[in-house]
Amino acid sequence: MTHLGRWLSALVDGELDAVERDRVLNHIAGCDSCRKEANAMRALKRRLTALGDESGEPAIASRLIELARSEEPVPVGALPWPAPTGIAPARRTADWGSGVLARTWRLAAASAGASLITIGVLAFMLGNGETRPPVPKITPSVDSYLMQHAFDAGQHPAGSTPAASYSPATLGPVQGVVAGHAWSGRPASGKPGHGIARPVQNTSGTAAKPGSRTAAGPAASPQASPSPSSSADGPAGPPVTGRHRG
Amino acid sequence: MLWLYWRRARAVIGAVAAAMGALAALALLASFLADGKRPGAAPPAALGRGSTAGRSSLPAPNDPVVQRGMLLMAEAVAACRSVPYRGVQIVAWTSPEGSSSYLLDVWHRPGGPELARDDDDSDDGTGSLGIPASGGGGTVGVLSLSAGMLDLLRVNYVLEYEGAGTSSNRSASIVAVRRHDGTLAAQFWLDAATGLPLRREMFDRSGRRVSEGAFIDLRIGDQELGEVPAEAGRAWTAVAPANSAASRPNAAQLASLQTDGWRVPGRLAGNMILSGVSRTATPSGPVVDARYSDGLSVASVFMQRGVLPRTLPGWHQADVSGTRVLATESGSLSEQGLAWSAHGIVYTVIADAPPDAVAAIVAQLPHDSHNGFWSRVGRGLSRMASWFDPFS
Repeated sequence: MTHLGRWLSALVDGELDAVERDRVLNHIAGCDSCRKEANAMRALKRRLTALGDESGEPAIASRLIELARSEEPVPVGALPWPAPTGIAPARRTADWGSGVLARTWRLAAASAGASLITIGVLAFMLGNGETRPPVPKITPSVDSYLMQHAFDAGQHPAGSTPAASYSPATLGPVQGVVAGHAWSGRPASGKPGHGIARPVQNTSGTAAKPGSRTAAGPAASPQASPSPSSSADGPAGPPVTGRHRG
Repeated sequence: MLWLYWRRARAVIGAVAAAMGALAALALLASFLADGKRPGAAPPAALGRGSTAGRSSLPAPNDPVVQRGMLLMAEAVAACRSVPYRGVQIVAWTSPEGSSSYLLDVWHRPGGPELARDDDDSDDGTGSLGIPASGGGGTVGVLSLSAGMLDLLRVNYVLEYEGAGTSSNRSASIVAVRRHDGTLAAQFWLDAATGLPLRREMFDRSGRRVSEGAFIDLRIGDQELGEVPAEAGRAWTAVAPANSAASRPNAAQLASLQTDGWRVPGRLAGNMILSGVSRTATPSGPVVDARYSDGLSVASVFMQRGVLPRTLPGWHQADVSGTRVLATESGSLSEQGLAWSAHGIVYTVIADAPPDAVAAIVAQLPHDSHNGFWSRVGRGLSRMASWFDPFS
């Protein structure tokens, strides 16, 4: 432990005036520990000074200086911190600060953009489908719907068997399941899993596919059409005449 | 150097431009032909049908032709209920996409409903007249008239006696059904002897014939009935009592359906008025059938909870009124089954109606509007936000 504290380092650095220097030297003359400490500090300073001389490659130093000078000077007032007092025009420090600031802003903008893109992609992937609880997938039972539609139209589908035992009064509630192709009405009624109509004549030459109720063609054929004008062309067209009121 | 290259490439560029121009002209022509909108081309079905054109004015309700038209139609309703007959009907539908037709065997005993069976149920697979028959359990005749349909006809149309004619070699009276704008909606040929409807033609607003139905064989009398088939069982229960004066559900019943999650509009586009609601139970849940009619056409709207798969065997994607739906394979729009799901309900529409009427019905029913990019992103963000909501 030394008795002089920072006075000792100031002595080694040559920062004391004459009076202070004499007082410190007088103490060192009578104090072994402080004298040893002062000697050690002087030796360290000499070594550091020697290192600085050896690493001072002139070419590298000059290139570094040129590089620093090539950057645009930044006004001291534009720095985010006050300029250090007692330091003469801190041009290199300002240039260094502006570069760091620009890089920081660029990094922040890139991070924000990447975050937005990530969130957007994630939201797009998660947005597939409804947010409500999952509901079962339904296949419309067209056959039973068509049969019910016939009822809606005022007609009652007939079975292929005669109604010898038909008695509306004896009809109980039908327990059949219509949808899901599980029609199970009275055995003598209806045709389970009725198909869908096929054409009388398909003028396009393409037959109706299974599951379709009708087949398409470009126009009703004379045979298929009950048009009055086609009545003489085929048996399907009943003779129709009209005498329209003027 | 560039000039040299330009001179060499100029011929090639000109040839490519000419080819592209020709292709564009061909595509334009094809689109015109497909739409049937060639300048000066008249609708095929409207050719030679000058009497079907619309009128600028309608006869007054007390006009004798109107009075007689309504009387004849009322007699037809009574005949459909009281006259025993057996026959074969042919029904044809025509649309810009094509046409289709089918045959029906029909029986009627006094007091009962008209029984209908596809003509291919015969043993030899042909109709009673030897004509290759249509098939299908859903084929519907269009000639039988009920009191309820006549009421709707009176509300939505003007009935007008047009004159005398013949159909199926029988003398008939012709009654025109006109819209309130004067355009012809349908014509009925009513048997002069019995009053039975022998033939019906239906037209869209442009005067194009979209549907024809007629007896091609009609035998009247009990002795002509032969073996009457049994009536198919019915697994649907009407919401309104069957013995009520009108099968249309009342306000309380509609409110009850609404409470159960079934939104049943009282009216759809084209004066299609709700005329009945039925329901049934299936393994995949209850199904509700809402029946709509304007007196001429009948549309059935089936609703079931669930979602529709993207693809279904026997169905194809179709665009109806700008909406993507699944449609049964082939067939005109007037008789296809059209299905889609919206808000957790699968809607299936089966209608015997002109294509434009079907499209208007489909457009009016609910549809999901969550198909856009931003709506999907919005759903995803909502889902992500729910992760951080401690109360969700």
